[in-house]
Amino acid sequence: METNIDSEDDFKYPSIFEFPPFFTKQINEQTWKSQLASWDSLILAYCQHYKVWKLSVGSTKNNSLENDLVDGLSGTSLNGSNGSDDVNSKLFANPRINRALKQETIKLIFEYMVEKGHAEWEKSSSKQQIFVYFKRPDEWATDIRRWVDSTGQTGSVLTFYEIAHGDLVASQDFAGIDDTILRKAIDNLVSKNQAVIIKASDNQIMGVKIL
Amino acid sequence: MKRVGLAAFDTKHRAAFDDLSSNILQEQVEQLNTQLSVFQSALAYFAVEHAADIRNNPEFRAEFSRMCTTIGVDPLAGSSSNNQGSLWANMLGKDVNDFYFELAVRVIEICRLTRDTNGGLISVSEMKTRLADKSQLRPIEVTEDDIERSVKSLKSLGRGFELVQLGTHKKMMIRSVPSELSNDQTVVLGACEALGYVTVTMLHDNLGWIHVRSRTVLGDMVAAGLLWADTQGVETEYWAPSWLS
Repeated sequence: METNIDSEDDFKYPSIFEFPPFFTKQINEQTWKSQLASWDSLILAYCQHYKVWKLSVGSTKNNSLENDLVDGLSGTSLNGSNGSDDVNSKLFANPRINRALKQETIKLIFEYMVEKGHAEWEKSSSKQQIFVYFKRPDEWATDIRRWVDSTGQTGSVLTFYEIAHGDLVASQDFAGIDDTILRKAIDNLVSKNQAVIIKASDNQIMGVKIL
Repeated sequence: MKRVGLAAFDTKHRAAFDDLSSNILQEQVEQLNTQLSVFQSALAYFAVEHAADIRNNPEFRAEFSRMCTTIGVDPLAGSSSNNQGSLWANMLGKDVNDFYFELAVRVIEICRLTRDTNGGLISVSEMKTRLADKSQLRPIEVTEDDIERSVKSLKSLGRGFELVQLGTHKKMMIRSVPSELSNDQTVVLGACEALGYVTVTMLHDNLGWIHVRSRTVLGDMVAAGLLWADTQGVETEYWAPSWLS
């Protein structure tokens, strides 16, 4: 199924992922609390590994395994929109033991993550989508600032696209960062007077100058 | 009246025999004392000499404690009973004792951290894996024997920490909640050793338990956090979290 090269980079699921009741909401409060904490750290680790910025309660597609094998090995949902079912079928379901989380349980887990500051609701989604903060926007801000400093780009104007997808950031953690999260990170720098957003005459955002 | 025959020797020689025997006895005691002190100092020397090995090398430590058990010395005996510490502690410069007490503290920490997941019941083998986990702050390599020893050293803290054996394989578990397991609960956990879980039907077919008995026991155990329920199978499956290790 998997080539050696790929298995190097494959996400290593924790052993609890093979534990069937992990996919059923536990009725015992204490047990549920520990179950939530395990899902929280699993989701953060998974999203960090595959650079997944956004998750949705979504529908966990059944029998989508064949598709996964084709486009799943690249392991990304960088292009966002239609990737969420693919991610959900890998993160919230385990076909080996034929178990999957219910959507209502996924939502509870999202709520827990938001409460912990590990995620934030996507405002327009009415609690259907979260931004996953395996790093918080202020931590991304620090990373970006450090990268700008170390590459001698302090004071020059960068486009948002350059920061997220430019050739120079390929090796950075924030390569491919979601637009909204990037904007939050930049806003954080602006609020600390460490960045200025440059707008064109028609009020279109041109880029950002990091000081 | 004059005694005749063997009895005639009695009074004359009894004192001499008594003397002789007490002399011999004393000599033996002295010899034994000398031997013992030689042995003690040899053992102490050995322990001090190899303190680092005893501490750091689990196999060496296991051999050492096996040796102690063979000659009838308990490395932990009396260590908490008085201020001056056990004879053993004095001899070994407290190193071995401290080792087990430090280990006990780590064991308690892990019991506390995992209690929400396993309801306060963790297998000794899982404890061993967790202690050695490289992502821990201070991973340590110990044997299961070390862990059992350290749990036993917590006996003086009351009934909070105890070793329990489960199932046909006599799997050794550490129980860190004060409530004792009922017979039925022990049987259920033992049965979980086979497949990782039990169902009401399995308990009925294998143990002849009527459904209401199984439901009561399983319900109690879920409420105590000892079992996780999986409702996505044909029938609700009750899983023991020890399966995770």
